[in-house]
Amino acid sequence: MSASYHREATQKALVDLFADATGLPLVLYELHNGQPEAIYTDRALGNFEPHCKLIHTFRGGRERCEVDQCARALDAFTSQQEQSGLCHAGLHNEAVPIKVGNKMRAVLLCGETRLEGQQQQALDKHEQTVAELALSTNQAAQLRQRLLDITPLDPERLALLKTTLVKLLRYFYDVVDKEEMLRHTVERISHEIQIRLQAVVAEAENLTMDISTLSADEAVEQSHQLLRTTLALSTVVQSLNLGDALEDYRFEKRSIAGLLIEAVQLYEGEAARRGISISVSLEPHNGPPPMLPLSVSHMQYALNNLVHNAVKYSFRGTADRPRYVKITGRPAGSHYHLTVENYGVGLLPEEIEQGLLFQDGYQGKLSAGEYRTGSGKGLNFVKRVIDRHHGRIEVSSVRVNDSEQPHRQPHVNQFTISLPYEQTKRA
Amino acid sequence: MSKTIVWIEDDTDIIDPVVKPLERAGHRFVRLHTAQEALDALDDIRQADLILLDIIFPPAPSGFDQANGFNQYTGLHLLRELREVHGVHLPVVVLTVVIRPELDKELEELNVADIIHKPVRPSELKQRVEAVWNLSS
Repeated sequence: MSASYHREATQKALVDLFADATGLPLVLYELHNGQPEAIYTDRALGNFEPHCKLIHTFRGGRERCEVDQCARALDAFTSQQEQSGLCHAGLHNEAVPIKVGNKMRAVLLCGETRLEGQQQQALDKHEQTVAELALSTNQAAQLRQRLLDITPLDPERLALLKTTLVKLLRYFYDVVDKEEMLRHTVERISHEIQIRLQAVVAEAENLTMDISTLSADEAVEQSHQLLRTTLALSTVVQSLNLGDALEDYRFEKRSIAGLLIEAVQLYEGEAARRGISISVSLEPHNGPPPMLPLSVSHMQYALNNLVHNAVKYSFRGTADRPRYVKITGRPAGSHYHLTVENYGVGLLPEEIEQGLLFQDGYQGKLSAGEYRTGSGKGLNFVKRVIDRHHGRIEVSSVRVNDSEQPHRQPHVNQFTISLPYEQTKRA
Repeated sequence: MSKTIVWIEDDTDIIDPVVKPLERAGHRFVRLHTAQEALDALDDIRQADLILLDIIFPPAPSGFDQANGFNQYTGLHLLRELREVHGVHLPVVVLTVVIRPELDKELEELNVADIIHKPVRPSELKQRVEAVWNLSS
């Protein structure tokens, strides 16, 4: 069953349920391409008064009713205010906007009945309808009698029923929105995994097909490339934090340089194809690489994520316009600072100040505009890993002038992680 | 015979090996990474023999209706614009991770020749692309 069919069926079932319980006729309007479109259900239509059903048998009668309903729905959409009054044929009805948050979702038309105390106004409208539809004397008399036969409804009861249905419909749209957001999140995550999986499948089959014609060195290199591509897939999957394995932090003194080099190797092919160079410069230049207490697998995936993000959100380079990812490291007192810098899609000040970019599932607003794909999981994972290492992560994003592509708002972005030389307690 | 394929896909840097057998067979690829790049390259597209189209990739900075329907499916919007506004009617093969019956239905209405879900083996991609040409010749 497709999502839209499921949505439509649920919506109609809700309207039917309410029509059955209240005996009221109901029509729901949604706006599609700027025009109100009615969602009718047979049972709700069955609740229309015999008076309405008789009008529908007259020439032009059904069309007149539909035009009238549609105009009232459009008024409610436009004004976002409840519209209440008599329809063209003299029956009381209400057009109620359904809003979720600030967003208009639909208009509910309900009532189409006679309220207590409105007989004279109803009869006045009846005369207009007789003239508009050019009814015969006999037809007019029949219609008038049907109008008078309607049992008037208590306005307070109508108000109560209407309020209840509006609450139900708001709930419905809220659930539909949340379900749709969840589907989009699953699709984004699926996209990230499938892209990496596609690369693994393609490289594996190409290697299988080519193996008999490759030299030993070429075979080794292509096997290494396949391994790196598989590790890039593994990084995406680990960042999703689907299992408990990531909770098992075990610290040992390791060189951050080794982990960094592995992260760079994973993505340097991808970077090269984008015209992006990756450089690494770690201080001290004349001494051994810094040894830090690290939970190796966690830190490896975190660095993979940072390097991958820097590559992915860099603008593409061209022959006359090189682009870069620059990784630098330096000792800073009791900590070691590692900075990953790139040139490309920026971050907004509020996203940095409020820490939004580290929230689970969050996608940067500028990246959402330029680069829609992404699971929104990577930086959340990085932050958790750095926190467990008692480290800090700081972000800056500075817009630079680039007359070649002014509409793309290039930024120099820096992610700086600060890791302690000693863990004061076991994380 | 060598043919030209316009490949509209933002992740060509990652999944480039998937087209290796087609390139080895002598076919030429024009790689475009965003909807805007595609709209800027209409002449290339018109002269090509086939479009290989992703569904989720960066949109044009403006011009697409983000308010209705599958607003994250940039490829669908782009294809509709190519077909209906720019009169591009060459065969289109969709290569996507998205599996949604209602999306397939919309793609079929836009006369898509084949829908292939990632991950696909490079040899199968080659076979299916060439099948489209064989059917249309």
